[in-house]
Amino acid sequence: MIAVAAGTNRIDPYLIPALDGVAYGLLVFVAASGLVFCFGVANILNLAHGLLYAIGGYTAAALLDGGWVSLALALAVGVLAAAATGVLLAGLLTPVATGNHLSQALLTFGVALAGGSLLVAGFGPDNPQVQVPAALEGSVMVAGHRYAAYRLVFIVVAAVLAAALYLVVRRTRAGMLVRAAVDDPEMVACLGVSPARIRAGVLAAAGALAGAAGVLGAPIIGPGTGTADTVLLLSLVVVVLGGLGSMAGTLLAALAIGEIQTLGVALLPSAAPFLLFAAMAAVLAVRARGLAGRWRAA
Amino acid sequence: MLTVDRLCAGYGGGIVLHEVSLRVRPGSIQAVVGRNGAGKSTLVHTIAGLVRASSGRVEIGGVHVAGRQPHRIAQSGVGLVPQGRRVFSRLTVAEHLHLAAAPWRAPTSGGEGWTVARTLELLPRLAVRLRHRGCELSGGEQQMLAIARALLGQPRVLLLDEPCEGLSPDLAARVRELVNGLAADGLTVLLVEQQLQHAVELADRVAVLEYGRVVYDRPDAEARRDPAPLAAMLSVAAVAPPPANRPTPRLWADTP
Repeated sequence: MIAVAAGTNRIDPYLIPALDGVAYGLLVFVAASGLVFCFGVANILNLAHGLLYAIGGYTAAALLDGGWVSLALALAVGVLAAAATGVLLAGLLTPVATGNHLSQALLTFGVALAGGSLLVAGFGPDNPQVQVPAALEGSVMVAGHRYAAYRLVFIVVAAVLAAALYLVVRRTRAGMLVRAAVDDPEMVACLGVSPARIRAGVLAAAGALAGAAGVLGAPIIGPGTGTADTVLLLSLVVVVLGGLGSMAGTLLAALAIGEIQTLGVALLPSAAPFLLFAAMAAVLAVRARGLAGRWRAA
Repeated sequence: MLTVDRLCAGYGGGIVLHEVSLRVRPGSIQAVVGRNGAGKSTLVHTIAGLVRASSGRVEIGGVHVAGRQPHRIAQSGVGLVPQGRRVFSRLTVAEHLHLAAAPWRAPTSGGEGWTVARTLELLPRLAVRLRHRGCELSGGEQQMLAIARALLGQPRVLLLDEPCEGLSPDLAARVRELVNGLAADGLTVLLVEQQLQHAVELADRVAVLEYGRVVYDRPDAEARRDPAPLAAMLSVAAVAPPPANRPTPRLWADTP
């Protein structure tokens, strides 16, 4: 009994960081899954992906006023704006869509720089504050610890989003097209489906997901001058760790990142600056194809 | 009607097909035979739009389609059963059929009204494998699935690239019987085949490709009556010198 209590006491300080890691990981999953599908389905390296999240984040900062209506409005506007930016990107990428990744990287990096500058010009250089709905501002008790209510709700919402994404990919015709395109894009074209339409659809969906993550995750990774870079970097780590086109791998990698960034830092504070990249290097050294292999869309 | 007129195509700067001309009547089977590397698959891929035609014409029912993108050509009524089947490994049979019978694949003018039910009636083996993924099927089942996928696109022209490759003799015979039945129903069939005997048995006309050129194109009756020239062309001893290569003209037009 004493041993159990002692064990519980040892785990206790890390419970909240571990829970935070789940929230952070699910946020990274929703934000990064679009980039994974861009890469796996459309074979496009989109370095403007972080910008799509930042659009959602700035929308949240501009529209949220502590009410539920403003949250719904911010979500709608953020998702639509980021999805529209995704479609715009698809149009810009058309000439280099079948080219090498360097051309795509240069083009999308340019868009990211220009878009980031426009956001700063529009919203100012300071990191804006984000006001969550008043009902979620407080904290709740979790295993004897106070924990931010918004983060707890975010975990539920992000889990629902992840489940919805899984169902769309597995059960809908659009999801089948995505999985088929990961497998053999030429044969999908021979079914009469335009690769350009698939590309635009994937980039729009990627934008919508990143936009939703930006709005809902603004209290966790808030809008600011470095937000786009942070989200892009985390998303690229997810791509490397999770493998291309794999939803299960993406989720696993995102949760691993979340735990490394929170629980890992709590356990090894001195290693905080390089813990994430050390983990990435270790995974690559042991399993170069990522945690769940590659080319699996669910 | 499928008309291929002086079609040139290749990869990079090299030409593989040299002014290939063929006419396939509705309801007939045109076999194309030739050695490995003769350009048979390139011909099929060029008609389907997967390889860029550098010059020449491809007409489906009188409509020029060469140079269009593959999805446009598919929408014009061209169904492809590729070499190696290329079924989607992670999709189930049911998902293949669902995707292939999608609303964007409305019956093409003159195309047969293929439904999932009719396709399963024709290929009953697929009906008991609906929940299995493409990678879990046998070679014969994958071939049936590739044919079903193509038929659900309501094609007027069916391109079959070595459909019997790797199949057991009885399965290969079933596939040939199936292709014969499809042509009898009015489908225009271009069949790439390695086995000369099978090609002659099945086709209404037989063409031989050699180094990307049509060196023989006659009715099957003539090929049956006098098979010696045909056999000689496909024998190792009858290798003609390859034609000189020439640069690819820039005629790729991405017709919307």
